[in-house]
Amino acid sequence: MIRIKYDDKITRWFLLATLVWGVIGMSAGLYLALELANWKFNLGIKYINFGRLRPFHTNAVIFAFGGNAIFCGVYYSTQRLLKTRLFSDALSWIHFWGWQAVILLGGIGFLCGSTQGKEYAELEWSLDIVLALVWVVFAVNFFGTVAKRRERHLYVALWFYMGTIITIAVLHIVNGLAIPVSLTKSYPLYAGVQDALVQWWYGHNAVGFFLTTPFLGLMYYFVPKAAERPVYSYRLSVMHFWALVFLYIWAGPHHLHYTALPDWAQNLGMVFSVMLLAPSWGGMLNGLLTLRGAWHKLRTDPILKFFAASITFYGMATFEGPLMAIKSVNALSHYTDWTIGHVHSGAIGWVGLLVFGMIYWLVPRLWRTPLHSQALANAHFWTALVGILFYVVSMWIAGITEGLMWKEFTSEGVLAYPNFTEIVTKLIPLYYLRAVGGSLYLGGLFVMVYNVFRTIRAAPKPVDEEAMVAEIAHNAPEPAMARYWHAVLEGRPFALGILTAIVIAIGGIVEMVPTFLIEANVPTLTAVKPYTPLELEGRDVYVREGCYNCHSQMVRPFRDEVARYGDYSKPGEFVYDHPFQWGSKRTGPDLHRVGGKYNNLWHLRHLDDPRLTSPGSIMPSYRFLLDEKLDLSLLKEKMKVMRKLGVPYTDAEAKDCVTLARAQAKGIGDDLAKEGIAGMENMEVVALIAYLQRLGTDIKWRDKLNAPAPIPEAPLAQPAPVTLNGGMK
Amino acid sequence: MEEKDKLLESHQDNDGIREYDNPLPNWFVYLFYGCIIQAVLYMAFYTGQGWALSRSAGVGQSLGSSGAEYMAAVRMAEKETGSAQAREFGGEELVAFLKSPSSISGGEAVFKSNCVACHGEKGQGVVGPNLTDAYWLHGGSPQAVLASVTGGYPDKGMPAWKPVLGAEKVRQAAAFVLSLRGNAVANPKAPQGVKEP
Repeated sequence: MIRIKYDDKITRWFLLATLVWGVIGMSAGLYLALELANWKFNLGIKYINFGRLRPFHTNAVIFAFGGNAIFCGVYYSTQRLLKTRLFSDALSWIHFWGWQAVILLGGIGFLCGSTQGKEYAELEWSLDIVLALVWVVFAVNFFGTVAKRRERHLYVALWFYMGTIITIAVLHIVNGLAIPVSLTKSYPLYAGVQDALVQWWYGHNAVGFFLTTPFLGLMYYFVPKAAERPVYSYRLSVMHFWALVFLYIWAGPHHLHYTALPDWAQNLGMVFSVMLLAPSWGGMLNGLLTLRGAWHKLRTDPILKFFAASITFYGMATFEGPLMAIKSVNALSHYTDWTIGHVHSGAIGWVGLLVFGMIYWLVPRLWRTPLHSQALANAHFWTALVGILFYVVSMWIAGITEGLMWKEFTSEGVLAYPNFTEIVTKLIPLYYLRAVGGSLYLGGLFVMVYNVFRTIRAAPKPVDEEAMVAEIAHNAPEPAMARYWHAVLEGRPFALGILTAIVIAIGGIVEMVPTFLIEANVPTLTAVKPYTPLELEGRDVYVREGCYNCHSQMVRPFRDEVARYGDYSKPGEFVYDHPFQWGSKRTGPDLHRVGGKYNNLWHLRHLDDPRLTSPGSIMPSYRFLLDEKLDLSLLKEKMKVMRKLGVPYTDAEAKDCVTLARAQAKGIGDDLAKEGIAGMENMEVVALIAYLQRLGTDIKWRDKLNAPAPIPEAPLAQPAPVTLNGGMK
Repeated sequence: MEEKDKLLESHQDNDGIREYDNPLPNWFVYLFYGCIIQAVLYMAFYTGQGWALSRSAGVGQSLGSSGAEYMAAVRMAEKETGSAQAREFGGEELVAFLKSPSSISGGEAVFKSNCVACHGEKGQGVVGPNLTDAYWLHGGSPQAVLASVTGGYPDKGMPAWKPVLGAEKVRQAAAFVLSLRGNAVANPKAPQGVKEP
C-alpha cells in the first residue's frame, strides 16, 4: 500500500469557474428573454442585440458552465475511480486556463460580430484551433491518468467520459473545417445542403456528447455516492451505453425535417431518434432505480432532490425529443418556441440540476467544511424547479400557439393570419412568463453562490485529499473473469476507445458520404449563380448580426408555407451558401423568398426601425447599419477564398470585385435617393439590402406563381413533373 | 425468475460504488425492440414510397415522400376550398358591393391590420401614396382600385393582396379605400399621380 494525494485544487477551480460562468451565461439568457418580451431591451446597442447576444448565452451556458462542470466532476471522480493522481498537473492547468481563455475571447468575439454563423459552433477558426488543442490536452491528461491507473477495470462512468472525449473531438474538427479570410473571419468548407447536414450532425451530437454522455458518467459516480446505494443494473449500463453512442450520432437530420435535405436522410434521422428513446430511458432507469431504498432521504437531503429531479427531467426530455423528431409532429413543432422549451428542459432541468446537486455534494468534501445552510440549498431546489416549470410550460404554449396559427387557413383557402406580427404579438405574455421562470432559476443560482461562498469562507485552508492505495502489476494474470464478456473490454481501455470511435463513426459516414457524392441528392439548378461581390458582403453582415437566430431561410413544402412565403426551397439553390443559413427558429418570418417581395425603401425603413413597416414587430433596430460605412477591405480576399471553395467567380469578377460592389451599391443608393433617402450608397445597409433582394430569386418562382396553379388531377402515383419541380431545372 | 438485487462480483473497489447484477426490465426490452421494428418498417415504407414517387415523376430523389405529402395537401385543399371560394363578380353588382356600408366597415378592419404601415392610420399616405386626395398613380375608379389591391405593384413596394387575403377581404379593403376619398386628414402626403375628377 502506498499513500497518494489526489489533485483537488484543479477540481476546486473548475467548480468555481462553473459558478462564475453559470451566473454570466444564465444572466445573458434572462436578458435575451426580456429582449424578446420587449424589443426596447436591445437598448439600441449593437453589441447586445438579440442576434449577437444569443450565441454568447448558448456558448457560455453549454461550453463554459456545462464544460467546467464536466471537467470538475470528471477530474474529481476519475482520480478516485482509478486510484491515482491526475496524469499531469501542468496539463490540468493548461486545460483550465486554455478553456476559460477560449470561451472569454469567443464570447467577446460574438458580441463584436465575429461568428461562423453555425449554431453552437459559432467560434471562428482561430479560436476553434485553440479549442481543439485544449481538448487534446484534456484527452492526454485523461488517457494518461487511465494509463497509470491502479484499478484494472474501468467503471461505467469512465466509459462515458471516454466516449465524450473521442466523439467531441471528431465532431468539432469535422464541422469546424473552414478557410480563413482573416484572423476573425472564415468561410466553412461545406455549402448548402452538405453544410446543413454536417452542422446538425454536429449540433445534435453537441447535445448528445456534451450535454448527455458526460453527465450520464457523472450521474453514475455521484448518484450512487450520494445515495450510498449500489447502481441498479450493470447489464443495463452496458446495453444503454453502447446503444446510446451508436444511435445518437445518426439523429442529427431530425433538425432538418421537410427541408431540402434528401428524404432518405431525414427518414434516417427520424427513426434513429425514435430508437434513442430506449437507451436514453435506460440511463434514466439506472439513475432513478439506484435511488431505491434511499427515497426517505429525499425528504431531508437537497442533493438527492436535485439528482432525482434532474434524472426525471432527463427522462422527460428524452421522451419529448423522439416525439418531436417524428416528422408529422415536427411539421408543427419545428421553428417554434416548443424547441426552445425542449432544449431548456434538458439544459436547465437535466444538466443544471445535476450540476447543482454535484456541487452541493462536492463543496463540503473539497473544502472539508459542512455546507453553510441546508435550508438555503432546499430553497434553491424549489425555486429552480418552479422556474423550470414556468419556462417549459410557457414555451409549450407559445410553440403550439404559433405553430397552429402559422398553419391555419380560412374556409376560403387563404391564410387565417397572413400578418406574421399578429402571431408574434400573441406570444408576448408567454415571453414575459418565460422571463419569470428564468428569473426564478437564476435567483436560485445566486442563492447557491452565496451558500458556497459562506461555506468556503468558513473553511480551513484547503488541502488535497490523501488515500492509501495498492499498486497493481499490469502484467500480472487477470483475476478470474466475471461472467460477462464486457468485462474483458473494461480492462482494455485502448480497445474500448477504438471500438467507441468505430461505433460513433458509422452513422455520420452513412449519412454524409452519399449526400456529398451522389449528384441526385442535390440536383443542379443552372439558374443558380454565385452572389455578386456586394451581396457577398451583405451576406456577411447577415451572418455577423446573427439574423439566423430568428429568421429561417428554408420554405418547407407545406401549403401554408408556400402561401405565406413563396415556392418551397430546392436543394440546388444553396450550393454557394458557405455557411448555410437555414436557421432553426422563426421568431420572425422565413426569408428565403424575401427577394423582390418589397422594394429597397421598405427594407431600409424596416432595418432602421422594424415597427415603421411592421407594426408590432419585436425585432431590434439596425439603425447602425445606416450610419456605418461599408468596409470592402477584405472583399478581394473573400472572393479568393470563395474561389478556392469552388464558387465559379471569373477572373474579372475577382479582380474588379470592389468596383462591381461599388457600382451595385450606387444603384441601390440611387434608387433610395429617388424615394427621398439620400447618402446611403456607401453604408453597410445597402450591402444587406442587396443580399436580401437576391434571396430566393435565382429561380423564377414568381412568374410561376402568377400563372394559374397547375394542380394535377392525376392519381398520386403519377404526379405531373411540373408540380414537383416546377420546371426549375 | 432471476434473483433480484444480487451484487455483481467485482475484484475492485470503484471508490466504494457497487453494482447490482439486475436483468433489464421486460417492458424496457420490448420497448427497445419495438422501436427497432418501427425503424425498419418506416424506412421501408416511406423511403421506398418517396423513391418510387420521384422515380415516376422523373425528378431527383431528394423531395421524396415530403413532395408527395405536399401535393396531396394542395390537391385536398383545392377540393375543400373550391366550393367555399368567394364568387367573382363585376359590373353593377361590384359597384353596389363597393358602396355598401357593410363592405366598408369590413374593409376598415382589413385596412387597419394590413395597410396602415404604408398608407397611414387615416390613409393620409406615408411611404405609400395618400388615399384621401384626388390623385391616383394607377387609377381611381372602383375597378382600378380593386385591381391595385388585388395584384399590387411589387416593384414599387405594393404587394399583391389577393393571394394573402382572399377575394372577399380584398374587395372589402378596396371598398374602404374608396370611401376615404375626400376625407380631411392631418399631415396628408403630397399628391402623386394624375388628378381624377
